[in-house]
Amino acid sequence: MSVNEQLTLVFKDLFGPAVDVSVRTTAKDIDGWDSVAHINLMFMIEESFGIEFAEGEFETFETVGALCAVVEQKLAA
Amino acid sequence: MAAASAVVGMSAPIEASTVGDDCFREGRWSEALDAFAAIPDTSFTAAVWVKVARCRVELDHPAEALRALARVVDDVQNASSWLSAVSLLDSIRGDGHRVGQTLRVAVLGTYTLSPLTDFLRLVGIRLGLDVQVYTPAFGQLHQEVLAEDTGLIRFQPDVVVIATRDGDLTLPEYSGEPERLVVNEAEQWAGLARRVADVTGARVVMHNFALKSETPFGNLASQLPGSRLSMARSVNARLTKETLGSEVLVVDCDRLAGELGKQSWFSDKYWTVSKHAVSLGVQPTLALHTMAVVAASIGMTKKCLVVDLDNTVWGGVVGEVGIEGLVIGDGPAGESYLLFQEYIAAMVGRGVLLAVCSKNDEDLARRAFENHPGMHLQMTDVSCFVANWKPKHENIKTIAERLDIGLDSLVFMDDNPAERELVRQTLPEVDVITLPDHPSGYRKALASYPWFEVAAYTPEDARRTELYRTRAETATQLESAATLEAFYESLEMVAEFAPFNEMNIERSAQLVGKTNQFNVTTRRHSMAVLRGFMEDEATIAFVMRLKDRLADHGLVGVLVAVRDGDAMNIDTWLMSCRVIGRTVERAMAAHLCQEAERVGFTLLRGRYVPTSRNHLVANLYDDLGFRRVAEEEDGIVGWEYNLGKDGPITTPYVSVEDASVSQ
Repeated sequence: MSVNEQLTLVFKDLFGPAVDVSVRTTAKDIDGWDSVAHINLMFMIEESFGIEFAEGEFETFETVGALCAVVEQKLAA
Repeated sequence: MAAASAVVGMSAPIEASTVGDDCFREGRWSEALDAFAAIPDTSFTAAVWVKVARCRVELDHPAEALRALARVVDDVQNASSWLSAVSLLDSIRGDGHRVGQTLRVAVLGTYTLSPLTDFLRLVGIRLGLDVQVYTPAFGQLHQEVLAEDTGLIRFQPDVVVIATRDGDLTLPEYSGEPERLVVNEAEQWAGLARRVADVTGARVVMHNFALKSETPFGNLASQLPGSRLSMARSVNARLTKETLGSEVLVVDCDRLAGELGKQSWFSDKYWTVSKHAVSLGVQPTLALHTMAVVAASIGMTKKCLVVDLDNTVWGGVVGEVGIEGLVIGDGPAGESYLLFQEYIAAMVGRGVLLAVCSKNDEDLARRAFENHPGMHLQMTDVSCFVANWKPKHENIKTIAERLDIGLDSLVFMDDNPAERELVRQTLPEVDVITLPDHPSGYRKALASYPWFEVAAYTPEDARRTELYRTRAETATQLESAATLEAFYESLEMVAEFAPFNEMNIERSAQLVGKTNQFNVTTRRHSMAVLRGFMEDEATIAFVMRLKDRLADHGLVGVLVAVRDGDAMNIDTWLMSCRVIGRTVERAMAAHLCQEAERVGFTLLRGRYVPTSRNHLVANLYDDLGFRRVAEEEDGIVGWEYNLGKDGPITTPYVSVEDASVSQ
């Protein structure tokens, strides 16, 4: 499974199976992606990929594509 | 019965899970469900239950979906699965399906209370409750309680949860007047809780303070009454006292945090990023225990534990191996069953009813239960004993009828996954605890089950446990015992002697084979030779079991004396190292005197054969009053004791009980 596919599954787990995710998706595009859900999302991504975001990284992703790139970067490190 | 668990091969769960996952990904929901159904309950994690729930939602089976979500709650290890489960729950609810009876829960606290509140709603499903949550705006705890006509009061909660955190405590790192600060702090919080109860009329469930262990004083902090850590601990203790007997119940979060480890309980990162005082990963545990106390506060408590016998409370199938073949108390597996039995007995002492539900001949099952010397549970612990060959779900119904309690207050434990599945399918009201594959995990499985939680401990519960309480009181005497004599006295040791027999010969052989320290001759007799002693009338061969106030040590001593002219010659005498240094050897010597006299001998002979390990018993015979009569090669010393002249050896600190089984 690619990072992008796995990331999409996490989104569906949290926001429901109907959610539409692309690299250009932002928080505004998904119902329920508020600041509380964002923390839950980051936690689930950490758990799913076995990575850790630093405290400064939580609010830095504009799009799902940017998020995906950071996950890939952390997995490669 | 063990056979069925062996049927489930190693690869079966992995395979079923892989096939299920493939179908799941491709949206073949029914096929996925069929595949998941083959996964044994011991491998059925929260993640799998979430997938089952999702399949059910897709297939438009909302009731089954809710049942699957309820099972997610039984696995607290995976907070991500809990978050997915909440998302599914909200979609089912959003479709207008009724999820249970409404319970209105307000949660007050000074940290981010989501996902805790979402998890409370999820745990509600496990209880058949539709938990509706109210939380005031962030940080509005005191305002909500002190002002009039607040959102809290308008919400009309059934239960108010006060979620505290270490940082709420206004204590300095050190104070020269800790007592005053502690009293102030505890009274402030207890007062807040009481006020909440007053203004809302609701039950109040309060988290005590999970305390961070970081302190600049290090280990010294625990010795300094004025350190913040010591004061905070005192606040927790005082808070409990202040609220006892009121409408306020306490969730012992500091205990939970200790159990999971404070390193996992707290996360400075999540505190700084999102003001979560409790790590997201452990919030399932916090939610589960909060709801367990909520359930207790509204009387939703399980009353009766129903246990299987074979391979559940003892090792082995009594119908196959006989009473003497059962494993309890001795060896690692035996100790596991004993640990489990001890915990069950402790639950009984607290007021939980115990019922037995076993596929067995009743007479044999009862005899094993009553007579096996390793049994810790006693017939008097059991409220209802059912052993026959009927299906278990029928017997469980019988138990509920005989005890006149609802099926929904029963909890069933059985090592056999097939029996567990049968009961789950036929009696959905009955809770079934999944036992792990090995008995060393049984005690933990029972102890982690949260739904026996009660709101109070009444004198009626206590009456049953008077014995245990007296014992606990004597335990404190042990700490303060001024002399060695007082210490021995306080142990209340009871020895039980039995001649070699089928029930003890294996453990005896094991001790003969491995005991090094307390072993006067270190003769490694074979099983055949030991059996020879058992049948030889001219030989005295017995074992000793030892119990004391704190523990049942099991079979810990073996002694063999053979006829040698006019004397009984001690061929083998050994004791397990766990009972050394408490005068128990005198009890064995006293028993030998008694047995020797019974067969008409008054002269005892013993030899000390030194090895590199048994120096401990070099002076054993001297200490007991034997006379040194011979010095042989290799440091071997011969000893004699004349019963006629010196009288029998006495044992002041160990009382002797008749062997209950010595056929």
